[in-house]
Amino acid sequence: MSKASVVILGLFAAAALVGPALAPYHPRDEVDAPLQRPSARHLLGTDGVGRDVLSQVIAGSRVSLAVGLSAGLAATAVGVLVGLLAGYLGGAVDALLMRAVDVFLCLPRLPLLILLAAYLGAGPAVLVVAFAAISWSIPARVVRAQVLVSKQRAYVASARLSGARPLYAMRKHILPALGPLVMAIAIMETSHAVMAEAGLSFLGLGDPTCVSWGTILHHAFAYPALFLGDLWLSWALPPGLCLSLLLLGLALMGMSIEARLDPRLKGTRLG
Amino acid sequence: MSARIGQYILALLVVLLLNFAVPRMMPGDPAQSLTNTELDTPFQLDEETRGRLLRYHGLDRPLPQQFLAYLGNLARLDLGYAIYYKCDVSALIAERLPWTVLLAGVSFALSALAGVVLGTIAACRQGTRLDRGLVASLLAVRAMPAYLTGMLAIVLFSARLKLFPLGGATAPFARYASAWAAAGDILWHLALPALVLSVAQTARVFLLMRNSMVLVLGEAYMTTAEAKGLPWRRRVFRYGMRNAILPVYTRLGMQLGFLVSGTIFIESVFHYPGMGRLTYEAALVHDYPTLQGIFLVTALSIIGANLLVDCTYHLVDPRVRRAR
Repeated sequence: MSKASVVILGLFAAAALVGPALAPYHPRDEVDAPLQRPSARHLLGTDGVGRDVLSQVIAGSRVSLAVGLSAGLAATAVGVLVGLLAGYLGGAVDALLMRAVDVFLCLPRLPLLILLAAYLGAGPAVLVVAFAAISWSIPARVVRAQVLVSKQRAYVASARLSGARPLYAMRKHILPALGPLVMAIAIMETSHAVMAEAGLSFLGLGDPTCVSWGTILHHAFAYPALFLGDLWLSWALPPGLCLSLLLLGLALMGMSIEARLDPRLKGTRLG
Repeated sequence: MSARIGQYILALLVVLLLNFAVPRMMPGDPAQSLTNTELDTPFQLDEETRGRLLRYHGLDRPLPQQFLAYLGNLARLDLGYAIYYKCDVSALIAERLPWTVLLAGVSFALSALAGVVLGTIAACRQGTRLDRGLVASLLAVRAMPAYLTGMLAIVLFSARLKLFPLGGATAPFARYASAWAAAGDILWHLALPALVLSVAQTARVFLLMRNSMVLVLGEAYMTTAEAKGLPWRRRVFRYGMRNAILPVYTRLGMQLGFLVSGTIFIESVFHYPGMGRLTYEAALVHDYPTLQGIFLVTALSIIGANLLVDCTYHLVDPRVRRAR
């Protein structure tokens, strides 16, 4: 596991866990005059209505991580379940589930999420469910391919011959062998979910009562003169950079797991 | 092949069903939301008006009949009426779509080319400083959301260096002396958004191509080619890239999906008058029929692109041609 990714993800996890308690102001309180440049009182200045940007960025890390992780894990869980059932049971179950996977692979994910968020409201719960409902197809396909390989192993065959029921064999013999693969998938789906949450909030489709990085960017970009002064440096850049850094951390972690799964891809150690 | 086409028809059906069902899953009374105003106290409807309103919109009929009516409207290219823009959704999309096709098309071509070339170079130099540098920088680029890269590009190249316009697709109120002047202006406005979009997209193609090429370079036939003394250029182009590009090609259809979501953010940031900017605006003003129309057209184009990749795959992989 690459050290850089552990450091990055650890930092964000710490910010999400204890950050809001240490933040100087409440992220939604209008505490000072709007559009202030960075100062000792407000390290990243204030936004268009006078809220402290630093406190908002810290609060945003909690929303991004919580929504991203739960949506990513939900999508992975559905995908693993479908892939496991399709791969191990085979036959009609497999054919049916894989047709569904093929159909879902063709759907444009972000436009569909936008449509769902616009109509059903974009509370965190809706987002998690909608994301999982749309994104399970790729994990399912990858897991199924791996299950088909593991199924041929001698120990699985001997378990089956000694009378192991499908559910028992899947739980005891197939699932444990999937560990690292599932982790790589979960990381990829989490980064997609983080990006989706930020994107929806950036478009103004997020939950208006939550402060996330996307929401900060949404308000910043709605301010007409953002690029004319140096306001963008303290207002729009910090949440954007946090988002990029989190996604980079996830990508690096994903790559190092991928290289472990397929040693031929090694040789590109990224510190 | 026919199985693939069946699958795309099924996907199309799911898209249509979703487009039909999602608005009907919305909580609350449709008649009430049709008369929804910005007032705090909702407009009180009496039974008769309510019934007439539902009948007018066909909402009193059973769902299967409503779905058939919806399909009938689609067949006549009637995508509904844009609440905010006060015109037909199809007219709105017809006006915006060409800009997105231009932006996405140019970015797609640029990024496919750059991604394949850079990916091959990195794979041939696997493990060197060049490879590591390329992977790290393109990973960082991929992690940047399109609106952040777009913002940085605007600040640097437009606001500071004044090399490119701040946004839009043409100069406002422009009158052109000739078609050349018009094309020049359009290209000048296109350059920055297209570049930003293709940079982000290049990273995806690059990582795919690099991994695929690394795996091909490890194959036994590559060692054989080297052992029998084939020149470097022939080995990389005819033996390596020719094989490594296959999985990249199959993923291009899916890449188009990422490209479309990229245009949403790039067009919003650059005020580019395409479908992406329309998505942003329609979401802001809650123009639901427009969002539905956009989803339908986007889904259609992605399904179409996947179909195109499938139909042309035999041109890239001669083994498939023989199997057919």
